[in-house]
Amino acid sequence: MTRMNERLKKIIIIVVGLLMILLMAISFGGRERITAVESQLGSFIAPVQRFFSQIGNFMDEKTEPIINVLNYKSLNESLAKENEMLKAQVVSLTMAQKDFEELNDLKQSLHYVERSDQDNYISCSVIAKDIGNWFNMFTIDAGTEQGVTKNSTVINGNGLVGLVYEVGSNWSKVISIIDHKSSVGFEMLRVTDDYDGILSGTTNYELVGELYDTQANVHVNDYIVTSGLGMYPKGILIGQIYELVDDRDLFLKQIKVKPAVDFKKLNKVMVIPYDEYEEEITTYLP
Amino acid sequence: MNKIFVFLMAIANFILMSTLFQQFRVYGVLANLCIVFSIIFAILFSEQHGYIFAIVSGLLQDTFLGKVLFVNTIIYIILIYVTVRIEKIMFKGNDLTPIFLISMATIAYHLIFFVFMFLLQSTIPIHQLLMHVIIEVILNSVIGLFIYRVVFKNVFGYKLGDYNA
Repeated sequence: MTRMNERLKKIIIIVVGLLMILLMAISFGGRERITAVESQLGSFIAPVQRFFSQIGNFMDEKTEPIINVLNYKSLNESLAKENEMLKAQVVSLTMAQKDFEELNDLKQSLHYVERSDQDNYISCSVIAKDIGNWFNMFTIDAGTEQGVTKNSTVINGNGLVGLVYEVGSNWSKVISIIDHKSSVGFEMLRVTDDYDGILSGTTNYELVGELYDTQANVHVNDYIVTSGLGMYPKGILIGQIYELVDDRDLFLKQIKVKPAVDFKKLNKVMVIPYDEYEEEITTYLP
Repeated sequence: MNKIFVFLMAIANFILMSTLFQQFRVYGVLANLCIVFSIIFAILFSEQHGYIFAIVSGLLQDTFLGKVLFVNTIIYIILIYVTVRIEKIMFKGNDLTPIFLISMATIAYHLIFFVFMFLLQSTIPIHQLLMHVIIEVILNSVIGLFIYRVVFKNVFGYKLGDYNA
């Protein structure tokens, strides 16, 4: 009897396992639509998760000043330095702004067709983060009911966060740009020379990118933004270059980028819905 | 222990892990309490208790935070199946039993996950992950030992390692 049981158990596990592997292969890459069961389940669990993540964020907020009290001096100094730099930048940018307005006037007088600006952001909060250590996925509390679609871009106040992977009725799964398999087309945030490339994530909260142009003239501390190639709209801040690697074997120039977003402290995000049919070029910069 | 209680505990565990426990990451690594609890339940209560906890938490994890459906579920099932068969020839009243089983299970979890991700062409270079796995094994075993001792005392009525009882 026990022997039969043992054999039955083995067969059940093998059959269920094979079935699951099949479904795994089908569901890979994110489905267009998830099942109603998952969607409903999410609606039940999301409020509870929101409650607990609020408690977590509150705790984090309260304990952070105590933990970081020793870092504040250096932080203060670096901020003061940045402030000076920014003041200098404001002057030059005001000049540029004047030129830009003149150009705009010219544009109107020539009846130039205006590109529409993106203004339909959906703001929501992060309610759950990945519990495994392999990927960097998280759940947000907005779904199809709020107008989120698959492949929508997720940003926050600092810059690019990620891409919507699967959508439920009022929750969605987001895959962040620091995830290993995500890739982002980028360009340099500069006026004169436009260097393009592709960034991909690593597991250690940093991004590694490759420039198409091996002769490109890039520097440490340059800012990079999305280029508009691929899913992401153009002109969203990604981060700052902190290391240059010259790979002579592959004839490629690699850059290492520190993301502008602090992925360890992610509470509020905004979603820009993805529209397949209307590929709009936006001019947003956070 | 009542099986409905195990079911509810798995849901509570998932909710807490994905929200509150995120604040307690050590070097960016979170202990996997799903492995810890399901293995302890499988050892100290019954195989079925282990399966219930494993399947519920695996399904929740795959639905809400997984890249691929069922990958965690199937790995947890395999872990419980193997653990129960190894545990039959082991002595339960020893500290080393939970440490050995939980650390082996954690390593096996990552190995199987690597194989699946390799097949789906979504793998991460192993050297980037090695540190994560080592930290997770240590975290899981320490937390696992602590929980094992508490549950052991409740089930058998005497402290783990108390040979005079």
